[in-house]
Amino acid sequence: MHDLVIKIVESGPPFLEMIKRLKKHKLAITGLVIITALCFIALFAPLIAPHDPDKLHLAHRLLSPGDGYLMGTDNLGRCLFSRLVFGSRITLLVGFFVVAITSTVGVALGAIAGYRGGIIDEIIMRCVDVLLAFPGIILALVIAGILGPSLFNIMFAMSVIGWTGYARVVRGAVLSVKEREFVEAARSLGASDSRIMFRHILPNVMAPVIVMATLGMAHVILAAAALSFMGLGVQPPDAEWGSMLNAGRLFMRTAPHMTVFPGLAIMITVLAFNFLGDGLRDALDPWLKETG
Amino acid sequence: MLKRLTILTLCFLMITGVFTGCGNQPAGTPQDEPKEQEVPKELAAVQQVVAGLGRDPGEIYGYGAHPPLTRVLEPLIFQDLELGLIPGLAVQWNASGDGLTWTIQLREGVQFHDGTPFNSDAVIHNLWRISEMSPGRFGPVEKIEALDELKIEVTHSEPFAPFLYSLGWAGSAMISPDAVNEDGTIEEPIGTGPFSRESWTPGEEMVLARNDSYWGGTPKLERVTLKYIPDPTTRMMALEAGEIDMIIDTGGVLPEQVPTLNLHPEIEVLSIPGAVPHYMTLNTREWPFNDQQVRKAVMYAVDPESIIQYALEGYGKVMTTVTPHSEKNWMHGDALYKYNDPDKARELLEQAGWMDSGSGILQKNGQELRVKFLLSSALVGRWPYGTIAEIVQAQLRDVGIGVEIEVVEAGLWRETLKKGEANMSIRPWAGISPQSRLHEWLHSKGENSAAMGIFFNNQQIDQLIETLLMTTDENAAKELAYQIQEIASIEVPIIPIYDEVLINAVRSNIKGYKLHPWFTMNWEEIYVESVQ
Repeated sequence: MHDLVIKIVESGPPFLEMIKRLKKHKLAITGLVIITALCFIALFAPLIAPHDPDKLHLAHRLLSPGDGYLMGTDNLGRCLFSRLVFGSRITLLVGFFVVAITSTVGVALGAIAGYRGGIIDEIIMRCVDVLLAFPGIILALVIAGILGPSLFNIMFAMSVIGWTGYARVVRGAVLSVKEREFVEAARSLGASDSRIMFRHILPNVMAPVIVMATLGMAHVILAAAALSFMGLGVQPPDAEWGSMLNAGRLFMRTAPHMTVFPGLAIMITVLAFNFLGDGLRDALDPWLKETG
Repeated sequence: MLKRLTILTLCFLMITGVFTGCGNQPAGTPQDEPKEQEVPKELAAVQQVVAGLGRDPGEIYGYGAHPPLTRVLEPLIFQDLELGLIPGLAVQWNASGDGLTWTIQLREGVQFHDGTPFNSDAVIHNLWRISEMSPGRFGPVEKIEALDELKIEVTHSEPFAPFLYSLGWAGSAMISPDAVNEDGTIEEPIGTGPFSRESWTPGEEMVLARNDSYWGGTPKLERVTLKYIPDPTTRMMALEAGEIDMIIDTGGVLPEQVPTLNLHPEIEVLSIPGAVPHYMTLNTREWPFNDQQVRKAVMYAVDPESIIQYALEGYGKVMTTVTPHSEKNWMHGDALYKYNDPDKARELLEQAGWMDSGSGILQKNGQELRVKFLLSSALVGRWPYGTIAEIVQAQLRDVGIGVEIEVVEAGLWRETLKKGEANMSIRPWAGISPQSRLHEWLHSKGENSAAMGIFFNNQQIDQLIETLLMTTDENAAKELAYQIQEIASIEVPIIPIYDEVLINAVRSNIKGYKLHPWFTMNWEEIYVESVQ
């Protein structure tokens, strides 16, 4: 009996309940469908792309959509559709990688700060303050600029600046959760710090982290595109949406498809993650549960 | 009724009176009115232009004002539109029979912007200053003497053939001796040109003001603003929006922008074959380009024809030797550099021991044939180097050479190349003279050899170049130049890619602009017509 009561508290908001709420959120489902589709496209890019994305066909340059190329060709005669398809790999890779690193680091540091308090809390949170005092994209620009242009370096740069938000949110949540009765109970039963942290506190602070991570994906994808647009990301001939957008800029008036399609791709992806993030927030918010 | 009419009429008269009164006094200077009527109808009242360009006109040559672009400072000898030498601040020059002594007659009645008279003393001061700054610019100078107020004599210990070109070069412009510190640094660009520098905000813009007492006649423009706009799209849009009146300089308008600019009836695109050849450089000191076979394979693999057609939209000319078309008298008649023969490239690489490993990239002793192609972001904003690099990348990939393109900021680009940490790069080079061009690129002590990380060292070519610089007999000199070009095409330390066709654009109310192959601005002849 005793055991059972504790289990219910531990499992937090029921997962099925969340799915049910999410299903009702039409935009979130749209987002989810788009993201799933994107993952498939990225995974099976070589099967989907009709042409080699890096192969130049100089004689076929700047063709309009149609003409044997679904989305036309760029200034070097490369199939734009194939490049977008392969570009999705880089976009998703950067998004997942950076969010995974930043959320892990942010959650860990935030949890330690919130749980331990005192001097450790001071040190971690002042670091967060310092990093937050810089405009994020500028700092990423500086780091990527110093390290030299490459995909890994922009992922690193964005990871360095991206974890602070998670740390703040998690610290706040931990501060309130650690005073709750079930934590007291666990502690009085002699549970170790790590057990309290992993079994009792973290599951209860994950909801805002999941929402933040989903919205963070959108943010990271946009920032990566911006950095690539400035020539700091992927180096040629690799396809990346931001750098494709930049390449198309010179041909904006004469070959608008070179900018329109990468722009749309970025927009749709970012929107999809934002929709999903919004939906998740609604589904996970305990206050909404009570009122709704 | 009558009363009301009178009042209305009076009111009407008063109102019209007030308005016409206002109209008669523009900017509150009624005295100027008769003068304005004298100005030909088509001239705009305000003679000012704003020109955009892709580099900071204050940064180059150390004067604080780029001499050909700003015309604040002038050299002794000018170059006409065909690049022939014509009198500038010097009106006449003669060499002695042995070619050792040059007598130069200076122009009379010229003053620097600060009022200092331009005379033999000023010129001698300048010549020594430049010789100290870049030794050898004027050859092995033994002494410089003033024969009278406006006549100097330069004596060389050995004949120095490109002397006149060196005097005419942009970096040999004359500056007022008062503007130079004791350690040779320049405080203010005080020259003799049709315009003086009024202000300069580094990284932003430079304002030039008319020199009313210019020796060549008073310029029509009162003021010229040179705006540094590094991004080519921003530059083009500024012209389209009327924010700037012209895009000037080499690498001003990019070839792919021409169709867009042609859509505007009020914008005129100008182009002429320039004196700006573009070279791909190879690092001959480091692996893998320390092997002449590999360098030659690169030459055979690239196809400048396709670069010109697809990256430059036809605005360029294939170079088949290191000497550009603008120096056509010195150009070797045969097509020395051989391009677009991938089979030959593969054959050479195979002979050099490179094997296909299955990945498409060749291998030798377990090392893959991969090289770094380093580009400067500043140059990418002026020429379609990004596109060119991608075409070269594909063409080299085709023969089994992997190329990694990296675009870095200009300062880092220079540092990396100087340290020899990149394998290849590309840059334009206008050059001082046909002879010194060969020295700059191919001599082991040449300026570009070290700066661009080429490190080419060939004793035979060094000796030939040294002899060439001393050879005053034109036929013998050309023979030497041909020999040097032949060796260059065999050793391939650099690959000449194309001769640029300069493209500028002006709004159609800007008149009198003549594009110069050395992008020298004829600011004193440019004027603004009023827009209908």
